[in-house]
Amino acid sequence: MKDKLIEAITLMLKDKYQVPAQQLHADAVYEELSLDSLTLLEVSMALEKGFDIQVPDGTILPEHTIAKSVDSILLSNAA
Amino acid sequence: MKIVIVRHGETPQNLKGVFQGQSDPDLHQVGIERFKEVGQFFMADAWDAIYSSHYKRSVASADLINAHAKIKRVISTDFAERHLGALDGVSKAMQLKADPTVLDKLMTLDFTPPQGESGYSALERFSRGIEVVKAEHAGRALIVSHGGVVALFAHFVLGVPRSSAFLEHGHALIMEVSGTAMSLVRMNVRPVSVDFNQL
Repeated sequence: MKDKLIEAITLMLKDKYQVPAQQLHADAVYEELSLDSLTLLEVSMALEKGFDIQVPDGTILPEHTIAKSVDSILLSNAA
Repeated sequence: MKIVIVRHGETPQNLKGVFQGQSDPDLHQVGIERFKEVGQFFMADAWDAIYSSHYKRSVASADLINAHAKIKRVISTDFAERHLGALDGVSKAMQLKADPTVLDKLMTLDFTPPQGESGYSALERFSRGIEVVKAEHAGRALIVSHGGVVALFAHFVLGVPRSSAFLEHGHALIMEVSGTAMSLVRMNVRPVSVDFNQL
């Protein structure tokens, strides 16, 4: 599941938000990709819909890496 | 000249994750503490003036900066947040679930939220305020404003991509003005990461 979520996020960032592919990896920090908090909320909602999971507001934060945000998502949904 | 635009501190509504346009709450303690810290980064002799909108969250944030800096204070309604009409107070997450395109719509000039203000009108108003600041100052000016209206300005005037145009609380947009030309220097800068007084 973790790999699928990381793949979905990186694909979304590349296709919808035009983040260069070479910058996209699990340890990339969202704010270093110049993505603001509203965009991250949009990503959260797309993941909720695509994976039928809960991504509470604040789970994906600008200072997070992609991998850390996925860990937070998985933790939220394990509870 | 340099113009620095900072987004106001957090209100209780911000912390709940709702759209906040024309509603006018006070700062939450989180926002107060943030701007007590932000104020440490601005020195009086480096700045011509500090502007805010007339909304309480903007006034209080600017005043917290000024408690330390003692810069000339100006309040301008041109720097107020966009009137979001029926969207004001609605959960952003719930609205995105109902309409996944709502953020895209808000970043178009011809979209008007029900009973709200069009993107064009908000941008025109904000840009008018910027023109006044440009006309009255030659050195450095600081503006404490709001996320939505600044995002429109950053995107349509300075060319910032939509996905990067929304300032975080207490973060700054830095731009350079030369004659009639305006250009982005940095976007969404944490105050601790730059010496604003040496721009």
